[in-house]
Amino acid sequence: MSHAEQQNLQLIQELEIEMMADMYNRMTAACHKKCIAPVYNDSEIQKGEAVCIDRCVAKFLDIHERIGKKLGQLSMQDETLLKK
Amino acid sequence: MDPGAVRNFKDFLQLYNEMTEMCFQRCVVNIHVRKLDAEETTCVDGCVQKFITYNNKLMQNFVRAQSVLLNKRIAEAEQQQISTELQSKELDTL
Repeated sequence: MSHAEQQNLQLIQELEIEMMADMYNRMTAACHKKCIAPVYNDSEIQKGEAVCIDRCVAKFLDIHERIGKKLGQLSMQDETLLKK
Repeated sequence: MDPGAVRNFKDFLQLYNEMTEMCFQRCVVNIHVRKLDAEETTCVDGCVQKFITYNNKLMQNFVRAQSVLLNKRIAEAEQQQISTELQSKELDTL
């Protein structure tokens, strides 16, 4: 692999990590909003909240993957359209 | 890879994340099941499609409005120049 290619790969990897962190932050905010009631009598996470977090994360990641696939499809379509 | 492509890729990923967040917030109403149900999946598909079309439309409108604004500014600048020229000529004749 050439030096330039290696640099490109590193650049892309860094970007992906950065975006993963961004996604994680968004998920944290979204699931907090959905699962944690603004009542702080007990500082522990309740059982219901814990279950909610589990499902929330699963759903968020599901949607992320789904949208990723769809975007991939659409960009493929665009490319084939451009080639025509 | 040129910096423009990197930027483009970054913007794309950013938009992807934004879309996930927005469609999650709009489409996931109940958290009683772990899997996405049929209603939620259709909602997400529609949400994505709509977001993309919305982005396109927004950009078209932005470009249009922007060029109108630019033309207006150019016209104003020309007007300004003409009036200053006139003023300086008047001063010369005095």
